Amino acid sequence: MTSTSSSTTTAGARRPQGGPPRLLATWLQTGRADLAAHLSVHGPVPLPRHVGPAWATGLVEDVGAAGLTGRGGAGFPTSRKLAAAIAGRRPLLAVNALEGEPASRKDVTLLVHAPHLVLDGAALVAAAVGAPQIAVCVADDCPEGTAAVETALAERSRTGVGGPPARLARPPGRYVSGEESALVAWLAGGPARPRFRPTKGVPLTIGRRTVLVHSAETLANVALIARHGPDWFRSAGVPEAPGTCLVTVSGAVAAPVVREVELGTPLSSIVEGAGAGAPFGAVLVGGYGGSWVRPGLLDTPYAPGPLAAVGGAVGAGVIGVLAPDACGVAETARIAAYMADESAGQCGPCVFGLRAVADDLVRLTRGEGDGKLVSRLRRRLQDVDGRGACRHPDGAARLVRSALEVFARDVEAHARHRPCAAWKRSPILPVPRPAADVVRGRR
Amino acid sequence: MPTDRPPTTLHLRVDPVACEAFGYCAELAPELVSLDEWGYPVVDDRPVVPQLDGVVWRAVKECPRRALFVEQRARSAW
Amino acid sequence: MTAATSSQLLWYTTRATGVVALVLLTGSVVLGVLTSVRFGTAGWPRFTFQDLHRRVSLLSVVFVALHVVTTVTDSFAPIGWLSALVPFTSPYRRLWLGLGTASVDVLLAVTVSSLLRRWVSTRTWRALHWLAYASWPLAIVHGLGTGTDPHLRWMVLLTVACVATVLGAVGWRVVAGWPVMAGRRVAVSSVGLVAVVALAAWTITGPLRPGWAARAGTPRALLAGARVASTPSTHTGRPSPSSSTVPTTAPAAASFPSPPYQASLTGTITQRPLSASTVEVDIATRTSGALDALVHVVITGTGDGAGGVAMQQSEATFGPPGAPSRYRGRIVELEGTHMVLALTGPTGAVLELRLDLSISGGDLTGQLRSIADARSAGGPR
Repeated sequence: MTSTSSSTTTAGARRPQGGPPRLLATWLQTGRADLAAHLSVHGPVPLPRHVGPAWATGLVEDVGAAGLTGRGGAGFPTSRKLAAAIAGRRPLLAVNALEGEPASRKDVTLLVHAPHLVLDGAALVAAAVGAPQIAVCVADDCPEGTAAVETALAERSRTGVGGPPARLARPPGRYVSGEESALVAWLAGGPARPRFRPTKGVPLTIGRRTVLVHSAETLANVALIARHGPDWFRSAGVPEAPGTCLVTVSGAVAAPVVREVELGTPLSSIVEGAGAGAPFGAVLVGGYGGSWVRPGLLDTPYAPGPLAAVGGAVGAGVIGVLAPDACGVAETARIAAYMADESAGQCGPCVFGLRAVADDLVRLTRGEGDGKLVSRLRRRLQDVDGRGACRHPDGAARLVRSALEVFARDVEAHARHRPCAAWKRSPILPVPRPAADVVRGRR
Repeated sequence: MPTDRPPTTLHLRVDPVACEAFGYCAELAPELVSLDEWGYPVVDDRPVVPQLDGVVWRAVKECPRRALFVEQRARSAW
Repeated sequence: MTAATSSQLLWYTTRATGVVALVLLTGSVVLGVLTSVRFGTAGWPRFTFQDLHRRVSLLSVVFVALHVVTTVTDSFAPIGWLSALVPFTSPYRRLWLGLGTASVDVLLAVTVSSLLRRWVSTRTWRALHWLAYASWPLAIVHGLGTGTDPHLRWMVLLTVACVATVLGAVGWRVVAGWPVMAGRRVAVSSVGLVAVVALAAWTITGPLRPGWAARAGTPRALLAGARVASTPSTHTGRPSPSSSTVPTTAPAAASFPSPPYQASLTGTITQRPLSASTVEVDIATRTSGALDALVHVVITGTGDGAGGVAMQQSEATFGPPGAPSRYRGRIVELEGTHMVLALTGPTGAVLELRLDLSISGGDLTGQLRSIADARSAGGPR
C-alpha cells in the first residue's frame, strides 16, 4: 500500500512543497511494474552505447550536485563513494535490498513496485565504475522480492536492456546480513557476518576483487537523477537534505504503510498521513538501532540535521509509532531482546552485553528489578558502545539510552516496582519470536 | 615549536572478532587495558606515550589470538 | 670395546632423552591445557602459563631431537634418517617406532607453525595445534612399544604418572566451559577413557609380557645371539648383545636336523639387577658337534642374596645361527642348573629340551637333550 508524498505545510517555516511521486511513479500512474510500464513513465535508461570516463565523471558530478546520500542507513554522500570506486579497481556491484529491519518494508516495496528503476540505477553505476557484474541481493525469506527481481531480470535480458550482467543473490534474511561487510562476506562464500575493519577507507574485497555496495533505494534515485538532473532532484526536500525517501510507518497505525516522503517533512505529518490518529505517543525513528523521539518533538523535520538535534537519525527509514498510553519500556525491552538475538556472535561485548541489557530491561518492565538496575544498565550501555566489529551494539545502546531518557518517568515507576498497566499488552512494534514473548511469556 | 613530536601517534586497538578474552593484555599493559565484567578488554584509545612502548609491544606479541594491534594515526590538531 | 662403549653411550642417551622428552611433552600438554582454561593466580598471571608452555615445548623438542639423533647414529639398530621422519619405514619394530616418528612429525609441524606464528593464519595454526594433542599419545605408545625398559617398574610408574597427569588435564579442559559444545566434550571424554583402558590392556598383554621384543618386530639378528662380552658384574643393559660381538651369521640353515637332539653346550652366563629385588640371568650358549644351534635363556626373578634366583619369568630361544629364534618358549622345570625348556616352532610344533649345565664364573658348559617327540600344542605341562 502506498500513497503520494506529503505536502502539508505549516505557515511560517519553509516546508517542502511536494510534487509528483518519484520512486513509486510507475506504480501510481499505471498500476503496473513491468518493463513496458516503466519505460512509458520514465523512458529508457540514459546509458550511452559506449561508456567512457567523461560520461562516468559526468554522472558522478550530477549525483554529487544533487546531494544524494545513501538511503541504506549510513547516509554517506553517494558521489564520494562512486568517485572512490572509479579511482580504484573495477569492483563487483552489489545491490543491497536486504531490509534486515523487521519494521521496514521499503526495500520489498521498491522491488515489487519499481524494480526497473533499481536495476536502471545499478546498470548506470556499474557502467560508471566498470563493474563486470551486478549482484542483486534479496533476503532469502522475501519471496515477493525474489519473484519481482527474477521477473524484472528476465524482462531485461529478453529485450536486451544495456548494462553488465545482473544476477539474483539470496543471502540469509538476518538483521546484520545487510551490513555492508557482512553482505560481502556472504558473497565471498562465507557466513553473513560483519568483518572487523580497522581502517574505514579500505574498500571491501572478495579475494582481489573489490565490492561496491549500494542500497536499492539509492540506486533508484541515481536512475532518476541521470534522467532529470540534479536540479530536478533538489526541487524536493530541503537544501541540506534534498530529494525524497521511502519510509515505513508501523506501530499504532491501521496497517504498516510505505510512503515516499520529501526529506524535511515534519514527523507528525508523515505519521498522520499514514493513518495514525493524534495524539501520538513516542515515535521510534531510524530503525531498531535508532532512537525514540518524545511526543512533544514530533514536529521535527524528517532530515538528518534536525533529527540529530533531538538524538535521532534517518537511518533505514523506519518510523514506529506508539499510542500515548503504550509502555515504551516494554517495547524497548522487546527490541533489545531482538537485537541481542541478532548479534552475529563474534564479539564478546556485543554477545554478553546486549544479552545482559535485554535481560535487565525485561526485569525492569515486569517491575522485578533491583535498586541498582538502572545504573547498571547505563554502565553497560557505555561498555557495549563501540566495542564490536560493527555498529550493531552501538545501535542497540543508542535505542536503550534514548528510551531511558524519553520514557524517564515510566522507567522510574517500573524501577520502583510500580510498572504501568500497559506492559502486559500485545507488542505494538513488530518483533520476531522469541523476542516478542520475552516480556510476557517464558523464554 | 620547541618539541619535535612525530607527525603520527600510536594507538593500541583490539580486533573484537579475534579476541577471545584471554586477558593477557590487561595483565601485561594494565596502564592501557582493563577488562570488562565479561573478561573482554577495554582499551584506552589515547596516544601511547613512549614510556609504554615496550609494554605495548609485549602485549601485542603475547596475545594468543593476535587480536591486539597498534594503529598509527595522523596527529590530530588537538 | 671402544665401539661397544660409544654404542652403549648412545644407547643410554637415546633411552634417557626419550624418557625426559616424554616427561617434558607431558608437561607441555598440561601447561597448554592450563592456557586454554585461562588459569591464573595472583602470583602467576595467565600470560605466564603461555610463556611456560612455549618454553617447555621447545625444551621437549630439543630432547626429542637428541633422542632421534642418538637413535639414528647408534649403529646397533638399523634405524636410518629416513625412518626418523617418515613413519613406518624402519626395519626395527616398524609399527612402534613409526608411532614415535609420527609423533615427531606432528611436533615438528606444531613447532614450526608456532615459531612462524606471525605469518600463519589463525585457522591453520589452530588446526595444527589441535593435532598436537595427538603427538603425546603417540609418544606414550611409542615408548611402551619400542622401549626395552617397559618392564622396569619405575618406567611403568612414570608412564602411568604421565598418563594420569594428562588425563587430569584433559578432564579439566573438558569440564571448564561446560556446557558449551557439550556434545563434543562428551565425545572427547568417551574416546579418552576408552583409549586409556585400551592402552592399559594393551600394555599388560603386550610390552609387559616376556617375548615382547620379538613380537614387536625387533630384527632377528638382534634378538638372541652369541656370547655376552662381559663378566657377571657388569651389564650392557641390553637384553641382546651389542653389534660388535654378534658373530657373523651363518646363512639360515636349511639343513637343521630334526629331533631327537643331543649335543654339548658352551656359553656364558651373566646376571644383572633390574630393581632392588629382581635380577635377570642371561644364558647364551652354542652347541657343538653335528648340531649347530644357539640356545638363549633369560630368567627373571628375585635374587636370594646368595647368587641364586627364584624364577618368576623366563624366555628361551633355540635355533640355527641364521635363525636363532626359530623355536621360542620358556622354562617349565628348573632345579639348580638343570632345566627343561618348552618351545614352539614356526609350524606350531612343540619341542622340549633338557639342559644340564655346570657353571664356572661367567662361563658354562653342559649337555642338551631333546625330550620325546613333538606333541600336539595342548598347552604347558
